[in-house]
Amino acid sequence: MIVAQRKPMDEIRGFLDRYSRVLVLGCGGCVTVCNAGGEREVGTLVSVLKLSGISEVEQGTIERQCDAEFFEEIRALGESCEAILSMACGAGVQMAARIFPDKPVFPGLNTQGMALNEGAGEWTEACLGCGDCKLGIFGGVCPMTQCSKSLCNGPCGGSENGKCEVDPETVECGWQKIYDRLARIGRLDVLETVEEPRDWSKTHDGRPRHIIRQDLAEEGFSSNE
Amino acid sequence: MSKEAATDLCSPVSPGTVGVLLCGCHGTMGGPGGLDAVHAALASDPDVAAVLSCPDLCSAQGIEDAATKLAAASCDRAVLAGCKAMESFLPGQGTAQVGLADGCSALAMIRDVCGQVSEGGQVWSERAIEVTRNAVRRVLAQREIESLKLPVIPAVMVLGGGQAAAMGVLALAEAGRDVHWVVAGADPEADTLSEFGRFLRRTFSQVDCLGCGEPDEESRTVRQAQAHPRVTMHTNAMLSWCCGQAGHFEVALTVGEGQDVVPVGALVASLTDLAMLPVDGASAHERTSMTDLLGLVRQLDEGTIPKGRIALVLDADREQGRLANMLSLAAARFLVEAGASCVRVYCRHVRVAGKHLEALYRSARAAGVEFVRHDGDLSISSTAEGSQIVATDAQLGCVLDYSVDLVVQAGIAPMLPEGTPLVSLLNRTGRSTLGPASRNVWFQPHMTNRPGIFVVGADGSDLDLGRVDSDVGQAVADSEALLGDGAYICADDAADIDPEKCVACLTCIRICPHKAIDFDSEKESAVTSKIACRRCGVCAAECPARAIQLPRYTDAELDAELEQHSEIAVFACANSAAPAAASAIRVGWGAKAAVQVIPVPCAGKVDSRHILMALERGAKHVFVLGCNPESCQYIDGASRARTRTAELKELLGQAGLDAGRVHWGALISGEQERFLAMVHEVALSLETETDPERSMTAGVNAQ
Repeated sequence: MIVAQRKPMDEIRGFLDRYSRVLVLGCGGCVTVCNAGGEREVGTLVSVLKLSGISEVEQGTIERQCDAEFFEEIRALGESCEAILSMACGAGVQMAARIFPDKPVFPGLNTQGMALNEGAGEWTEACLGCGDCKLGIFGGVCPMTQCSKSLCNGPCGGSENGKCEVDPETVECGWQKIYDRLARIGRLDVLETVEEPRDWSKTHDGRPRHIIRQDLAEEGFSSNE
Repeated sequence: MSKEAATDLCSPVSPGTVGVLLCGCHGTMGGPGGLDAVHAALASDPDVAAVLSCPDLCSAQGIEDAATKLAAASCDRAVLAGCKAMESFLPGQGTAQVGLADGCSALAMIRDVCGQVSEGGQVWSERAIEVTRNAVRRVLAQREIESLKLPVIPAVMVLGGGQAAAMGVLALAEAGRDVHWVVAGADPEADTLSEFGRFLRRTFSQVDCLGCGEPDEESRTVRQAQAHPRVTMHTNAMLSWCCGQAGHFEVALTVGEGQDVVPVGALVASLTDLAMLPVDGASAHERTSMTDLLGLVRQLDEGTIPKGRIALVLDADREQGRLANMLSLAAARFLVEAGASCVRVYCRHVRVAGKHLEALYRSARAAGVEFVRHDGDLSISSTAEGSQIVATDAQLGCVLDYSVDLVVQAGIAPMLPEGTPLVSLLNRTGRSTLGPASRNVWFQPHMTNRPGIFVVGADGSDLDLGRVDSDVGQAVADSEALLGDGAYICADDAADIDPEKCVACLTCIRICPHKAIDFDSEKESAVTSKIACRRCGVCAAECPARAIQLPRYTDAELDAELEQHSEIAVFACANSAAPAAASAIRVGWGAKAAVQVIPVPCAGKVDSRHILMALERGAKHVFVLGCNPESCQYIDGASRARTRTAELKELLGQAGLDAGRVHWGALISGEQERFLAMVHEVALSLETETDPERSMTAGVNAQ
């Protein structure tokens, strides 16, 4: 799931202080689940913004901001506002900007990425969305996120007692986890194979990724074909 | 359409017809400044169908008569406007009998704001009208609360051997309850607690330390319980998993290779997973010069009696509980009498004020046991011939350095390790063996965070074996109250989760202090157990999708309440701050600022949005007042409220607003002075800030 955190209040106020009527738009998807941008958080933020002097603050929370169709129910409301603060992940904010091309759209959250939920109110980053998943090789532990340096051919010299030199107090060595896990499933032999340098074109570095599923995509829809 | 429209905050309720019962205080409240004005104003209110001025609203009969009249005037909801004396009538008790909707009534406290009493004339009457209208709005937002009769499984499972378990099994069976008794071994008597019990009895028989008469009584209870026709024994069985809620547990037992799933309505745990303090590192058990209390008791039972110099170290960082203290004292005395050359007990603050404990302590001293009360850490190191203990004597201040042949770590670990049966049963880690909430005044020793699961014996907070009897009695009584004749009767006012709005984030399931919420994969929604839910509302406050409403305290009701536009809004926990506020007001509220006390079931129910809503509507100060966090009836409701308030203050500060307008405070129900000190001071400061004439009317005119 995508996990995000509310931006610092002064940054949000900096976005909005020149407008007198704004829409705070929540998203009912991942950011509701991670307690960052759902109805409750939107309601709290709206109250604070009203108290801090923005004369009109409207609110709405739609099913998902990464799908254009869900914006229909708040389109009129959005049009009536001078600016929109989207409480979705970065994807949702961009969709909101597409839906309201003539309005300033600001992000209310800092998107942290794809993460595991460790219990109420706690998440750990687990996937970078690199586009070339190697979890099958690394025993189900992702070196891109679990190793502070995203190393793919074993640990660096900074791994000591299972801890990472980046912060030996709190950060565990991802490669220790990979080793332990492979040892547990009896596949340490995997580590003898040298992992070729990554093909970064499969990742963001190539271009903005565009995913098409031919059997679903409408004909003529994809401009990149 | 937006989900956010303010009127959509909870599921729509069918608006009823509201009548107001206005206290006439036996005819003393008439006149232009008194209730006549209030009566006239309410009678012309379109939301109010009938207003009855009643001579007597402070007796049950008076209220019943008045309510019958209201019902005759085709009202099904009532607002009682008067004083605190009518409170026992609420909420909804008996209203159905006189034709009013159950749960749909509210109290408007106008006694302190009506003209006759407060000598404020017209302004105060206006305030009384405002308060009553507010109660009308709240009653209109209420949902009718029905009474439910929920089927429950009329059987109880008792987990664990030992005396407490046997007593529980026997008492439940004799009360006519089907009992499943689960013991780890072949015999209920073969477990740690039984061993401890027998040891105490054997080494200290002259003091009746178990609270029972004859030495073999324990054994007799076990045999009687085993033989009872209502008891099903599950021997050599281990708890594997437990799911479900009070009234409907499914407990899986591992028996040999197989698994039995037993449905029961309640569980009584007398588990023997007492965790001993680790003995100085991992290899310690191999070291002959060290052992733990259980090891010592076993050695003594087997007749292997250590001689020489022996040190018993009670872990005195924490309160150990009486079982550890008793066993240590009894063992120390026994060792001296059996010929040990020197026995020392190291401790910091061992409490000996307890039934039998003091006698035991004195007799141990008389027998020649030495006690070392030390300050700071104690260091134990191994030497060629045994161990070396270095400690600083608390009285003399000097360092004591002794060699001993055997060190007994006599402490019982305060935390149960994860994965032990009790921890998995209670679905809550990090609790002490000294009970789920040993310092919490709301909890009796047999109670746990989970309704329907009780603990007795050494896993309960009371390790005094002499009191096992009363704990067992309580656990049995509570099981009986829960399971009754196979049905549990309760009001339909448990936290209500709207499956359409639930986003399956699991927040409520994870934070419910009573673990009363489960995920229903068919409904694709979290669902509350109406039996296990304690109606604290902590889940409703945290739900990120606003899918949870607590009846009587829904967003719509609190919203209606906040329509009152008071200068000071006080969200008051019903267990502490609300009664404190009520008595503060009774003894005389001196401040003229409009203070509105909004009762909530727990401070943990108060969501930041409600605090902000109060500020938005003109409140100059908002208080969230709850119980002391270590004594919250709902375990962590108050601490959540405290953290939430602190975070909101930070947010307000970041937004350039005055965080000092939001206050958190903890108090107990008797602390009316504390309530006054917190709220009154702020109220008085408001008066000095503004023109006194204005501050009197500010509450009324703010809108």
